[in-house]
Amino acid sequence: MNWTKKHLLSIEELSREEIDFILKNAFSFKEILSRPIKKVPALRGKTVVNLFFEPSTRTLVSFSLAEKHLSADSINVSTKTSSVMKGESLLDTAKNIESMKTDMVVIRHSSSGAPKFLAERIKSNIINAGDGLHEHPTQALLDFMTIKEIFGDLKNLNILILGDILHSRVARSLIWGFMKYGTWVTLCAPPTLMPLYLNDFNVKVEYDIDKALENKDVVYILRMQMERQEKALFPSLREYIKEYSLTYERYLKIKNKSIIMHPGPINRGVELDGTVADSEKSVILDQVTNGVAVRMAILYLLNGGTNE
Amino acid sequence: MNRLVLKNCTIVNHDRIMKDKTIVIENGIIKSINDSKKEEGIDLKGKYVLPSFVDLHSHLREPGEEFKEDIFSGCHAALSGGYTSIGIMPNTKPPLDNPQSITYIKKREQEFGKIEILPFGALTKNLESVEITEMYDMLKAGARGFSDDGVGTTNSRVFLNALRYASRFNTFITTHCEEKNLSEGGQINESDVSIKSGLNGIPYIEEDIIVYRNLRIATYLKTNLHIAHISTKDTLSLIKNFKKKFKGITCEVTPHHLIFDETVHYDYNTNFKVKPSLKSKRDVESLINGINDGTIDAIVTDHAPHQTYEKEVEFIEAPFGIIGFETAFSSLFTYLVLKNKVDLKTIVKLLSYNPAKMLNLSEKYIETGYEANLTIFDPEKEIIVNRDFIKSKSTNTPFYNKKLRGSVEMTIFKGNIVFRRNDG
Repeated sequence: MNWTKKHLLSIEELSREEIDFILKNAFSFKEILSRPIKKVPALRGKTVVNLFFEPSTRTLVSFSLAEKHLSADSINVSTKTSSVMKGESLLDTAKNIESMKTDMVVIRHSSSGAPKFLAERIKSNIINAGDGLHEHPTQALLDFMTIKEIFGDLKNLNILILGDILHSRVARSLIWGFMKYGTWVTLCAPPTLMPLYLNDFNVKVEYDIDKALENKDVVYILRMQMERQEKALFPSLREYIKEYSLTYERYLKIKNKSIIMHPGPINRGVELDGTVADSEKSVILDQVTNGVAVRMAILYLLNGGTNE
Repeated sequence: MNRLVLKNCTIVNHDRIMKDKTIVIENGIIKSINDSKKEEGIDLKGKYVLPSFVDLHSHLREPGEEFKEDIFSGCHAALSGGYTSIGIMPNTKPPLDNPQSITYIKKREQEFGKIEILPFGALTKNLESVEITEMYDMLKAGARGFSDDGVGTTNSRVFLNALRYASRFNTFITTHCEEKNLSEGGQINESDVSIKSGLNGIPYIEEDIIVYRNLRIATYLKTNLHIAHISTKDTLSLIKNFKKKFKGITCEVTPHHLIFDETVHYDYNTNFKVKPSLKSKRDVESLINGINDGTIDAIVTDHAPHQTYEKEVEFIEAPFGIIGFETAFSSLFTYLVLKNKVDLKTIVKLLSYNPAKMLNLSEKYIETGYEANLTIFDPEKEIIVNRDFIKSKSTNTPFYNKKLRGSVEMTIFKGNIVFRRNDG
């Protein structure tokens, strides 16, 4: 197929064929990553700005490496060191950066819709690296890649997404993608961290973690944020762990050939037990590796998908 | 003698339409309405002549935020939308919560000279819901009603006291109903749209919870109360029930709550970001029914200007509010009248006749002997709501750069032409 999209803003707007195409390219790039010299000239002479308005280690490093492997010139701008601290608006920041003749902007922002906002106003290709509670498409893509790598396909797998669904952009991107593939999705969280309106999503809601864990091929655990306790969303860490953590005890009961995933950064002992994170079922670090390959594929395709 | 003759008029009153009439105005009063074709005058063939509009809810931002709007720019905008009387809310900076501030507004009204400004004073000092304001003195200075608009009077005891204190004045009390603990941090209505867009949701019950409290206080005291900008089916049915028991309850709705539903938020356009939030299709339909069955008494603009640079930001950062003077009638005409959802006469009733009655203004009716306050509307002409069209300092309207059917061509206040569209 031919890639036609100019930006990567969400999983919702991608077709299943487009996701497959990205993953196909990502698998080729993964092969390059295993070589001693991990550099190809695909983006030589192109300039990419990584505009990060929220803290990030994994995503920022992953994008930076992907850009470097493709021979792009890239720079990182983060909130703390930028003019945003001096009161400059997002639009002015982006327009100024673009005036320096950049080709692509990777943006992470706490406001849902910020990447779309930029895409409608500047000429560069925009890649959403996480916007508010909306979506985190590259994370979902690397997760699909990881699952495909292990199970061959996503169709008819049983997936559990466990944790703070309400505030998770990763969960939203995953659900959109899984729906396109016909994957069976179960969501598990305390009711306060579960969206009230899920009618348009083909998902099952289960509040009892032990029932939710039954017969799952993939257990996808989300990060639990401590601030939620102050907002009266859960009573205590103690009770949360009792009810919703993937403890070692629960780990022992899950299906034999299943895998455990997490978008990182993990809170050991909170949403999952430390031993579980390091267990043989855990593919958390494989996800990180695939992240670089998926981001190379995205950068490559948005740039036109041609080698010089 | 000041004389004005309008020929070939289609006169649209709230209760009947008359065609091919000549209106003779002398010294601000309608001298006669007749079938004569002989008089020299302005030919209004194909145009509607309506009683001019009365807005129960607007924000002119002066004093304090003149970069968004000031009284003159706001009044120009109002006149070009066909309004000759505008109620303005007290949540300026500082708020209109004392007699001097009302005196200032009335002085500015005189300076402008072409419109009637009806200042609403704050119910509580600094809109803080602690102490009630000097309502007696504010009324003497020219206040036409009271409201803690923008926030609402959060303390129930203080609200009860304010209503009780005001009860002897026979004035107009309008109330913004919002349960702050539920709405805090929210951007749009909580629903599948808020989940998919990732914008924080506000449970719609935050409105009817406070509407119920306020209606109970008003009916307990047997004092009149007006509920501002209602947006849900549940609020509407609550008001309907209370109205059966007590005649002093009235309510209003904005054009945007009658035209748009929450699905517009998938585009993250901040010109739709407003309080109360836009609701579901079902709510919009029920509000239109509320217009047609008489439960809703008035349509108001809630004209709330914000500068482009304030709105052209991330959705979370943008302020709430939509401007409305200049698009109110054309948008209602385009989306409700032309689509046969609401009768033209009903729109006139809710924009003009009813609100004038609620504020004890001169009766808005086109008939011999009445004050000549008129809006001339061309139902065929198309308008483009762009920077050139908009008289307001701000352009934060959902109709920005969009087309609407029908144009307010002229506004007449006390027999004088105070606005005339001059775009050929």
